[in-house]
Amino acid sequence: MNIQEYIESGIIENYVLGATTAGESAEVERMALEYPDIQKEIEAIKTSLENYAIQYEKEPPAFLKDKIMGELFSGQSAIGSQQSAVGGRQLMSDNNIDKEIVSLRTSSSQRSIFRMAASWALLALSVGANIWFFKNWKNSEEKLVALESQNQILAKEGKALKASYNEEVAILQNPDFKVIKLIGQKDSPTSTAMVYFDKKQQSVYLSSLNLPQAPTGKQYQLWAFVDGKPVDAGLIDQNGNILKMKQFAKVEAFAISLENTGGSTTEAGPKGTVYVVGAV
Amino acid sequence: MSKRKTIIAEDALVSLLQSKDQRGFSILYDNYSSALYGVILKIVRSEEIAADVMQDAFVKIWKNIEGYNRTKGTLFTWILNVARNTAIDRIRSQEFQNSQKNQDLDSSINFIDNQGSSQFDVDAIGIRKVVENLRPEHQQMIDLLYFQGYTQAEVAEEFNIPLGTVKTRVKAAVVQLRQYFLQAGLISLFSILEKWI
Repeated sequence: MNIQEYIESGIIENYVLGATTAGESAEVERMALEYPDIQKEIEAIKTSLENYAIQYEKEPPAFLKDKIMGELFSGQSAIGSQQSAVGGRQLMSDNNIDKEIVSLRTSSSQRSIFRMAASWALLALSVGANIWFFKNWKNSEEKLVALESQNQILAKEGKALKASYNEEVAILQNPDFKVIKLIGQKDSPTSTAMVYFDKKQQSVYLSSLNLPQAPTGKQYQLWAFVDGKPVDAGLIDQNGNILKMKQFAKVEAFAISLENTGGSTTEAGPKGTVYVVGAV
Repeated sequence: MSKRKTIIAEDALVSLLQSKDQRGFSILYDNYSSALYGVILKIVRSEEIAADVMQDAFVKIWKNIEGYNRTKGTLFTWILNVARNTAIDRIRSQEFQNSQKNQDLDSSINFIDNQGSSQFDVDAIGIRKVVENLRPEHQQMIDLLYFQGYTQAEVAEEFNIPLGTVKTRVKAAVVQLRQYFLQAGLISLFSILEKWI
């Protein structure tokens, strides 16, 4: 037997409404014993109908209680002074029953404690959920800020790179510039660099640096050989981008050496190892 | 007698009643008489007869309380059924039929509605809420089956509605009632929570 189908059939509604025959009622009761789902369904429908019935509640006439109690307990005194009239057995157990009422009142107040506890539990649950959501939100917020600043940095870098490439392209397209390749020397044969030199404008640009990472405390320096002597052409403090160096009108060769940070002077000349050299 | 309801656990009330303690009866009456009276009045539609049926019902409850068993359902379910059946038996009795015979069924249904609106105006706020949520043909099914003791076949015959339609309406009516009270339950849960926050 398919339980769902049985529930859907409507017989349970009829049973609770009291509209089933004795045979049908017996069957529903048997099914309810066997299948808890059917029992649950019966309870739910019963509760709904009872709730519906309670909606019609109306205070009965005041005399009715006394009349009914008079009929039931005729020969006994009214409720207020019942103790003198009720039987000995009841008198003896009165104390116990009072206790029972008290203890069961407690149990009903326990129920309200339970309700309160349930309310608090729900509240705690909701507070917990809020904290969780807040943390998540905070987390996302932080990530967003980090991503935004990263994005700004990238945009800045991209912009600088673009500017530097534009500059380099402009130089390369300018026929006045001479391109000089600086070649690696014996201490670093694979190193290279490019110098763009425009005699007329006396401009010197350094680009495409391919040198080992300068160790801490050290810095690369560009030298221009003028009349056979090295002249300071500027310190190199960046890798990758095109750098504008000091201006010269007449140069025979360029070279890069590794110097202490701050570089060397023209008077002192290059002190460190020369990495690359290129003749104009 | 006082309207005041005594807060007592159902187990305690049942054991008071089953030990035939008069205070048990007094508490039972105070706690449930308005619910039972409302239902009885809805069925018999006369205050005079309702008072009489109330008395019969409470006498039956008192005399048969030993037969009540927790496993069969709540005390309220049991006494509500006693009251409902007593009232339905009354309207089906020859005596009642004779006193009402000038009214055919259709007009008696109207009669319920008309009387209902004037009679229950104090307590009607709750009812109206439910009734507003219940379609009239659904409410009619519940009232006929639950309060008038009709079977579905009787409803179909009396009102010339196909039996299938009656079945569908009963089913839909109960579903609607359940949804309504589920909502009402949630709302009251929230109002409890609100009090504590």
